[in-house]
Amino acid sequence: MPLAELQFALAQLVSAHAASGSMAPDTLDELALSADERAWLDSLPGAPGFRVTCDIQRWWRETRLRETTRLTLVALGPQRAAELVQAFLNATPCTTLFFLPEARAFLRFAAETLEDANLSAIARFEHALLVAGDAALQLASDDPDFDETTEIVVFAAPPEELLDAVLHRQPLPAPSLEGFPVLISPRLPHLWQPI
Amino acid sequence: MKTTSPLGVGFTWQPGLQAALGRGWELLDFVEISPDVLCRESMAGGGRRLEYREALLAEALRTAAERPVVIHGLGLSIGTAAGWDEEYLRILDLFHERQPFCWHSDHLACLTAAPQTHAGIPLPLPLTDEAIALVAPRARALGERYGVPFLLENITHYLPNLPTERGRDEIAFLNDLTEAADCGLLLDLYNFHCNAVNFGFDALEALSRLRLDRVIEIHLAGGAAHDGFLTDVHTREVPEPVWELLEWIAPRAPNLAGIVYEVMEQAVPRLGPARLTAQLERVRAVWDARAASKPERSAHAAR
Repeated sequence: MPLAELQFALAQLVSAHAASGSMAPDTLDELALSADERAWLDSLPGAPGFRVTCDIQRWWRETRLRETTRLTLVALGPQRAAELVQAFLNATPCTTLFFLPEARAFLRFAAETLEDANLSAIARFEHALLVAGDAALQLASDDPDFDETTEIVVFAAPPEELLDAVLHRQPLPAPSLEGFPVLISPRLPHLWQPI
Repeated sequence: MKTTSPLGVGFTWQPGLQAALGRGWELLDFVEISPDVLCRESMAGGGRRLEYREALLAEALRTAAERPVVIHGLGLSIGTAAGWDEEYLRILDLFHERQPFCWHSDHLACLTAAPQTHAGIPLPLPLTDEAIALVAPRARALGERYGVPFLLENITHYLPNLPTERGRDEIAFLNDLTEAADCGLLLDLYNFHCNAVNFGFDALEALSRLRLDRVIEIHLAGGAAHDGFLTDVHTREVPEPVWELLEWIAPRAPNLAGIVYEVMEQAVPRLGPARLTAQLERVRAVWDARAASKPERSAHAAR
């Protein structure tokens, strides 16, 4: 299936350049491509239109994240948010056009990457909120999966104080050694409450 | 080729559409729904699954009770040689069980080259016999599957020197493909304008070579430029060169059944009801001028 091979090669090329900006030279070696097809693919990375293609893929992904992960992005502040989004896009290939899976992947990445205990907890919290909110919308309350989405996230500061600081763009409270657990569940009126 | 009764002026369906358009709502003869946007995507049992969000589906069906519906898919990936998206077809089947539609369409593109190889942007097909042999039977099968016309939509792309055979350019490819598939064309005039500007060809000359009898629907949109390229984002009003193309083609496409102004959901509040309505009034004027010169009249054109 030569067309399948050409499409696979092109998608790999776009995906690689949209992420890290290059592709391992031997990635396409095993594919059954004609000399003309290889020459065309080889020519693309130097073409402005190819760069635009990759930029648009990233732009759509960024747009999805900015729509769906606002709490974490606000908590990070503009500079760190932009850096973390770029790091995520560089590290994680595009696998979906849907908002929620992209958001969940980013928040998992953020929770694992961020060293600050407050920020990491906020990313976990927002992830859990998305999951519980999705279940509340999508699942019947007697569905066996409904309660599977319930989660406890432990904050490193009183949650109301922390979230208030995020929403008012104030400095976050210092992380404490004490844990402040929060329950996130589709059964709760606002999806979460301190416990 | 299946044709269909003219509908008139349409708009991209989105939640809260009637309120968002204000007076513009009354200008609409039909709405265009993308089943994908009514769905959530999940991984279940190791496989990807799409499920309707019931609240969104219910709202879309309420709209469908007030206006005829056409379908415009985003994720079928009809041009993927390794296989199109069966999940998309499953949700389209479910929609069809609930709500008949007048026609349906999808992008002439490759979105997922293989499982786990997602381009993240519709990629163009090479202008080759093999691509035609791949897509034509699929398009024909989709027309038979739902018993209404299936339309392929031309896309914007930015890749230079697409592989080609028989000296085909985009127009020749669309002509050959719609002929082989015996299907209709959703001519996105904004996409076409983008390609003309980005690749430096004369849009009107190119349109004059298009099989106009294949054009069932037209899309209009406005977007933004990036690094010197016009890009396919539906965030703005329709630019003047696209209106000029519409005014040229509308009276010449004998089977044209609808013109849709596409706007991204996120851009609707920024544009606002007054500007959106003004755009729809302009579409309506073109449609009415066309309809007045033909025996067929759209459902709402008499007002």
